[in-house]
Amino acid sequence: MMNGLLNVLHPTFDALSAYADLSELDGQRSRVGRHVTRCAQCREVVGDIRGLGTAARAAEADAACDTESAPDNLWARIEVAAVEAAQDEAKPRETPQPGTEPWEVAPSLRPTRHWPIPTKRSLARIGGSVAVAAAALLAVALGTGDTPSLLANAPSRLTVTPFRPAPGSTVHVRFNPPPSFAAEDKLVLIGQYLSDAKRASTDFYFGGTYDSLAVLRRAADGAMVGDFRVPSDFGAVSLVVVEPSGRRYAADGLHSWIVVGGDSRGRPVLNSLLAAFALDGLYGSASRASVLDTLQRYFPDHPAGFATARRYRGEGMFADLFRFFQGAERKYIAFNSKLAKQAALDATVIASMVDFAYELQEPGEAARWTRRLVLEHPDDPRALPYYARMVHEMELEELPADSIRPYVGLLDSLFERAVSLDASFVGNEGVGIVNRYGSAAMQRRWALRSLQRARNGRLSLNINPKWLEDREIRDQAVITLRAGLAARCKLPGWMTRAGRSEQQRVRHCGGVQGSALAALSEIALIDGQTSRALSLADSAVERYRLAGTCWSDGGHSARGHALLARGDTVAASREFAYAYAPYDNWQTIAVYTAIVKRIGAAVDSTTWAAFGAEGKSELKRCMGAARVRDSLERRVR
Amino acid sequence: MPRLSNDALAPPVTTDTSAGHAFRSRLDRVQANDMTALGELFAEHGHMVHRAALRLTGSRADADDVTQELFVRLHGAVRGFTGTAANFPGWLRRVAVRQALMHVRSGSRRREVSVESVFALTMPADGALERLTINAALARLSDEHRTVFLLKEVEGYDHGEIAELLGISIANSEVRLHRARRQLRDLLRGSR
Repeated sequence: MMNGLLNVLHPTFDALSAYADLSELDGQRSRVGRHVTRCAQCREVVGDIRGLGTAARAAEADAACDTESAPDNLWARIEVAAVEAAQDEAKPRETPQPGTEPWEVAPSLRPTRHWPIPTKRSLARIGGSVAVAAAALLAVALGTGDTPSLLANAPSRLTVTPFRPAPGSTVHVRFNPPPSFAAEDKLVLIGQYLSDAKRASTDFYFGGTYDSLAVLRRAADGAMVGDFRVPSDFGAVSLVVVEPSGRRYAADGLHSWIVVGGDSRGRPVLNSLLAAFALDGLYGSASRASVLDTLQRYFPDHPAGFATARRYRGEGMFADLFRFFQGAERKYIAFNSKLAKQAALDATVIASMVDFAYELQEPGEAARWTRRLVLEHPDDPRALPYYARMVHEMELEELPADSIRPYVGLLDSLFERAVSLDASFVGNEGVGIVNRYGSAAMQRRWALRSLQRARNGRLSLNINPKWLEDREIRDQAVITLRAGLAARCKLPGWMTRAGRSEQQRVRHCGGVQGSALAALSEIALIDGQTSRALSLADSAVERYRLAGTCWSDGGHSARGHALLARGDTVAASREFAYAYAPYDNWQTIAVYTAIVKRIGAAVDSTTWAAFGAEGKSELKRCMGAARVRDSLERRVR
Repeated sequence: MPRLSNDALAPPVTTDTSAGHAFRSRLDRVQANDMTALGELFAEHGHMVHRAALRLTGSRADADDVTQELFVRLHGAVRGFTGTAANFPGWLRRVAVRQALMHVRSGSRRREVSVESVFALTMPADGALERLTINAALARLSDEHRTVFLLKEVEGYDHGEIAELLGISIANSEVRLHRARRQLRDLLRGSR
């Protein structure tokens, strides 16, 4: 079945990416290579992938010509530091006291292996036969043969007791502070609870909203300790330690610490593991490997632990030995034959099978499970994005539009049922499919609904600008943007409190709010309210300026259009020059050229050049000021 | 087509030339904490080290720290260098990459990014992609994805080396590269 599917379907992006790295000869011999030679679409993707590497190397070659890379005063710093280091090396060293490691007190959050709790039965099996033990050791040795994560080998700074807290229980936290926190007598433990197995609204690193959970105070041995109580519906919690001002933080390397709940006897609980697993920000972390491992060991009948894992485990020593050789395809087929005949399945089980099929690069199989997810659980938050991806995979097969259109109706129904809409989804696959295959009425409905359902408004419209010609959509856009401006500036996951500096957060908020004001200005202009449009554009530029955001072209462009509508061509030209002249990329140049052409003889080339030079100078000044502010903030820290 | 002489087919003969001798002598002086010799190495290679660090950390302050740390410790590190003057820049570049990755992993990284990157990050969502260049698109990737992409495409490491450098599995390195490429392609295609 699968071989047949492979011959029909396009390789996935990952397969094409891997193919792009192969030598020409190896590439021609591969299955993907044979497909690529026949398929223009995939050849284009491979060309793009190779072009990315070429572009990055070219950019690097350009940057290498930047003689300002190493600052002038760096050698002076190095010389002083090198002399001090040489003097330090000459001093006698103290021998560290043994047994003072704070992580010995409670189990660390760092280990990547959660071995099963020994029972009488398993202990009897261990003692039963030396041969069995040897086989088990072999299986374990093979099973852990990957290069261990360097991060995973180090002891964690944060430990909790009990290791798997039960809902409603009190958790004791012990934190061994890094040298940067040595002077602090008080730290704050902040956390985000993940009680729902469905997609947690998080981004890379620590995203989402974190609340204060406990104050950590200095213990006699130098560690920082504190307690907090987990809620009665506790699944898992993502933890970060910050100093009281919130400016500096400590976490588990590139990730937050994750504590996964257990039952009253400390055993793993499926929903808690699924809640932790749903945290996208865990990708690549030791915690994710640990969650996968525990899922496989304790819940071998659930596909979630196997769908995205690279290693397959069974339960018990014999099973470990034999199932170790069971590859992903065999495992998938085993789950498929067992689950497909069941009349009703949990949404997470089905979603895991979809993920599993995509992991195996089998979009046809994924489509089968996606249909089941949509039919059995149409209101599950995963139904809409998974179905959109399924349709998109069909597009990649170069099926004729008439073959895809019948699927758009169900996509529309799922969109109608969706309680809340993920902004990234609205901006990506779903909207793209509707814009390509949906009727004009459907496209309009999607544009309007995406604005109506934006909780707490939005600061960007994410719709095709052509819909702003529609009165109802335009009015709704104003309501949505105004609500977004009235709401507290929400930082995306990559710019959360723990992850970025105050200056960056201010610049980000100023940037998005300035853009919202610029969008409102453009809408006012469509409504024929020139003065109002100019006033809003002025506000946009001022908002950028106050936040220190140098990328203020949205505001200048809006002001240019408003001034142009008022007949002040020269002033408008200056704004357009500020908006576009400083940025030397071909897209901006194209827009700028069109505007210059539109204004025509009203402004001569000398004036344009003078305005452009002013704009570039202003950008340079703004960047210099931003550097100074960044530098000051670093010194304060 | 001119014929190759037998000399051309023979392996290169390594000789202790005066330039090679001077280079080895300089390294000996660096080992002995001679600041003048260290300064000469910094003048020749400091820019390259700083660039490599800047690329991986994304911040000039971090790149300064990495460069400083590397040159302060260089007297000890060169003891392990047994190559020639021609091999030295390549060796130093790899040391710089390792040092930068250690810096990122250690958590001592400054919580700021370059102004250049801030521009990329603070670009408004509407129409933001229209201006993306490869550098701006790279700034939008997560550190994990960007690091693997740069190590593979710019530094030329294979997945085995990247896995060792980052303490991850080879498969994980491959997945991160694919995801980085997919995101970059989406960002750049979206900007057309």
